[in-house]
Amino acid sequence: MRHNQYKTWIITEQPLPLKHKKALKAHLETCQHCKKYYLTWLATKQLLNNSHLQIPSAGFTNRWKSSLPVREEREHARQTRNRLAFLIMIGLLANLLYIIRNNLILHWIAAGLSVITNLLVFITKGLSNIGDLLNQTPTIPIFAGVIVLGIFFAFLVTIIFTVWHRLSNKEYHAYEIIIED
Amino acid sequence: MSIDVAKSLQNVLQGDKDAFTEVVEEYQVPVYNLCYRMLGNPQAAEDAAQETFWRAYRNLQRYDFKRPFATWLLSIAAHYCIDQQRRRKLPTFDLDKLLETETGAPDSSPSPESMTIKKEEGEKIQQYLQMLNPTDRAALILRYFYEFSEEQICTILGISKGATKSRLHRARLHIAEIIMKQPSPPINRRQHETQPI
Repeated sequence: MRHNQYKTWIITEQPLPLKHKKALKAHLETCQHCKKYYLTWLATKQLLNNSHLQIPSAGFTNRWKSSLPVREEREHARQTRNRLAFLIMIGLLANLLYIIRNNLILHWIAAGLSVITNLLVFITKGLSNIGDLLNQTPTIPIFAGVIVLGIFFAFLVTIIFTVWHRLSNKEYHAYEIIIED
Repeated sequence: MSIDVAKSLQNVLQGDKDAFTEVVEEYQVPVYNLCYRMLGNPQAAEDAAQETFWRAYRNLQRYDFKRPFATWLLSIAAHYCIDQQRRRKLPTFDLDKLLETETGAPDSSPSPESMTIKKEEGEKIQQYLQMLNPTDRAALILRYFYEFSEEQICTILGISKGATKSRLHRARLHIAEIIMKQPSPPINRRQHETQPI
């Protein structure tokens, strides 16, 4: 089947050589599919060529005119933003160059490491102090600890339940109000 | 052409903003039509056409007065619409849905040459165009709606002549295939007998 070849000949805008023209004509007389394709393409081309121009709704020029100040203002703001960003970039680059040129970056890295080390020392000391404090506290019998913890958790659960209950009631009332409306 | 475009543009460059309004008035229809054919939606076409004129106004210093202004303006519009389609992925028509709607609505008009049919077919063409790749669509629109030459199309779309030819060929093949799949392709019966190859 050489339909694709004939289809290409049908849709091409280049003038076909006489030999191809004759072959196409002979094929179209026998092949209904390509004949339909040929007629469809002719009609489509005609439709494309004859389609009417779409016209904008009335007042297009006025809308352009009235939008111009807004667009210009926006453009001005954009340009200002761009200039500002450019200046900031230049400033940052200059700083970077200065830092690199004066080996300041190594000083900064050293200072950063020092801060991190001090922080770690501070945390370790704090933990050590807490340990010392716990060592100094008198030993509490286990049953007393259980009772104290039990009371604490019971208190916590009561608070959580109360809050949850209050919130649920609020939602319920809100639902009632919506139903009444 | 009713106004001296070059003079108006020179006036704009010298600071007369109102002179560009004349240019907008002059070219609103071809620019809007291209945007509409590309985007297939009146509101999107209006926005795109307004944006086209704004971009032309903003970049007027870059315009080469040796080139036709219409080509430059349509080039801005075509690129903007292609860009919009790629960015937003505007909805394209689903061929199956199109087939469903067409088979669902029986053709009741008696005369195939009536204006109603012509309008309907024009709308269908618009739907078929939406199924093409944006750049192929732009090439086809410029070729058949505006009757631009391949050279003009490659200038407008900023692609090589070979690419223009291949895009046009692909678009023609594609649109013909789409229309062939329709239950009632727009075949002109008179052509059936008389059209020479």
